[in-house]
Amino acid sequence: MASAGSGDEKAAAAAMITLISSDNEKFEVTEATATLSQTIRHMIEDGCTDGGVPLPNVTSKILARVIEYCKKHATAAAGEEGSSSSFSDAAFLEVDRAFLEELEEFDDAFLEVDRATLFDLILAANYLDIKGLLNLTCQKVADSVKGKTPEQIREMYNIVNDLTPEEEAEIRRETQWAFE
Amino acid sequence: MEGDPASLALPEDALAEILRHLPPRSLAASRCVCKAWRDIVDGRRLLLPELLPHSVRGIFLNWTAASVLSHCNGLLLYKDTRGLHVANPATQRRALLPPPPPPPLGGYGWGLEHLVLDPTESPQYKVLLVPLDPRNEEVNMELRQQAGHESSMEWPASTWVLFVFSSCTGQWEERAFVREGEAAGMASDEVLQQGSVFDQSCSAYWQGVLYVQCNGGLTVMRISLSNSKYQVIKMPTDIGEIDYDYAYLGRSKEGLCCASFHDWYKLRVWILDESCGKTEWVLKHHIDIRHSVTCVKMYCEENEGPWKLQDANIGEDSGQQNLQDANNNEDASSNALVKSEVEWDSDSDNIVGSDIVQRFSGYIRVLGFHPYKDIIFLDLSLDRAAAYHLNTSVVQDLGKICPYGYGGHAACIRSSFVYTPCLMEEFPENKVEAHIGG
Repeated sequence: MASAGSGDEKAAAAAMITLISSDNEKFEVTEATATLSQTIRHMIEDGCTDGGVPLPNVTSKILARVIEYCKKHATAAAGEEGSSSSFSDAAFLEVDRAFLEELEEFDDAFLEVDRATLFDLILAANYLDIKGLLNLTCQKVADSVKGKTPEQIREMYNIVNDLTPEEEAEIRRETQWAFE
Repeated sequence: MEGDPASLALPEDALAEILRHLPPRSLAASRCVCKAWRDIVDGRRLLLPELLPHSVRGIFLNWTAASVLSHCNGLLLYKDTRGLHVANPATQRRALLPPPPPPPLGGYGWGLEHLVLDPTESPQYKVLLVPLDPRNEEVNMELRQQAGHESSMEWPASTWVLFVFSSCTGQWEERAFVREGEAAGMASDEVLQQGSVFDQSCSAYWQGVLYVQCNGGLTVMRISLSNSKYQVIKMPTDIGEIDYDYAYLGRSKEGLCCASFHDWYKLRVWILDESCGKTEWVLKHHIDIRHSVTCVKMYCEENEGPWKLQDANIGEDSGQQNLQDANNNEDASSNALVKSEVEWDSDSDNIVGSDIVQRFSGYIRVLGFHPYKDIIFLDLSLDRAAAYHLNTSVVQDLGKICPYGYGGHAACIRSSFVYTPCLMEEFPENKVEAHIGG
């Protein structure tokens, strides 16, 4: 699928940012894509992106996925802005809905990853401060915890229970309604 | 890498971000997983149980016309000329629902609307349209016509179709519920056609199940939203034979309860025992309460009581009144209720003394159950409301319930709802309305 509008190629080319992964791989992205990350946005504002942005906490494998996410969402955001001025309200709603549906499908597919990758994505989203991606990935983990008992959660994520029996009893007493 | 035992070794910020996405019930379970999880939930105040419904702050009373249709865990469903609304009076949020699908039989509408919400699981609510039962002439005729082909026709059918509005999708959808167990009876059965003078339908939502009264209160439908099944529960055996009035259904501290009066002042309370696959009404209380209520001063204008009667003025033609805690001085015309600063003290406020004021000779009806205590709220001859402590027989006078200009033979309370405020900010807005409004 084509990414950002081809008419903007010149403008986009003028504002390319190079991101460098922990294993030294270089990724060229548009500024619109890169600035979905608040961390990078601040670097650009501070004028310290010449020569590339080193991201020592993010591997190339994860960075590629993060960029894929940002590209899609930057395109969607740009599309939405463009449409709002040129359509009537009803048409805007239609376009809006189509965009949202497409984006939702993309997000669902994007989350089809193994647990280790999901956690790496959370770490990257947290470090790069990409709100949408952090929400998306955290919700996925939260959904796996929802409705489970403490025992089931511990088993699922191999967590050792270091609460004393007294502490555990205290917690259950405090929020008895949740354990009925 | 996959299934790495240490795979949830995320930094605190990231873990907190995950926990932030959990509803209150799951957060409470998360505090029990390990110390780190508990400390994050507590340290960042992610779980705020005080925002969940935990106290009774009033009772909605529908006089003559019902505009408040349903209440569930702090949310109200009400109707005005614009349509159906869901509102949270405590946070002043509300949403207009899209119009429900047109009723199949025309005229009389679908039946009764019931709101369900469990804020410990999700801020999303649902509204169920429970179809009319065979007491309705049109429904009855329709069923008889259908039964013409067969020798008899069960009611409800083995697959019962209800319309459900979900705030998640913002739409009404048809949902089929499959019956477990027996039908209420044959559509032609006389018992299914017995009407009650008080055509109200109590409902209670508890642990993902909506219990709704049908057939003038003689049948309870147990509708499970999680697995799309329903079950017909008969009311305790002799209700309707010896009880002069409607059997009230509600949620009490111990679960689903049913209360009814016979011989005017003899109150019976049953609890539905659903343990070990049973569905059995267990008689918990059988008390003559006439003596207890003799101490309540009736028909005295100056004696206001700790609760105040307010015109809740929800919707345009307000026919309902709201009996609320005093200490509530917000503008009553704001289309919403407000929380009061000081909680009504169910342990000590206004306990009536042992002096017999006058021999009580009026009638008593049930207004509702206290969902968190062994208390039942009573209507004493449409004049005063009282809280009756089931275990100790203590009576608390709450206040006057009859608004000025009401009373007389035609007056009656059509339905009542015990209000438990929910202070959670999250409220699913109706996208369509938000757009038009904005």
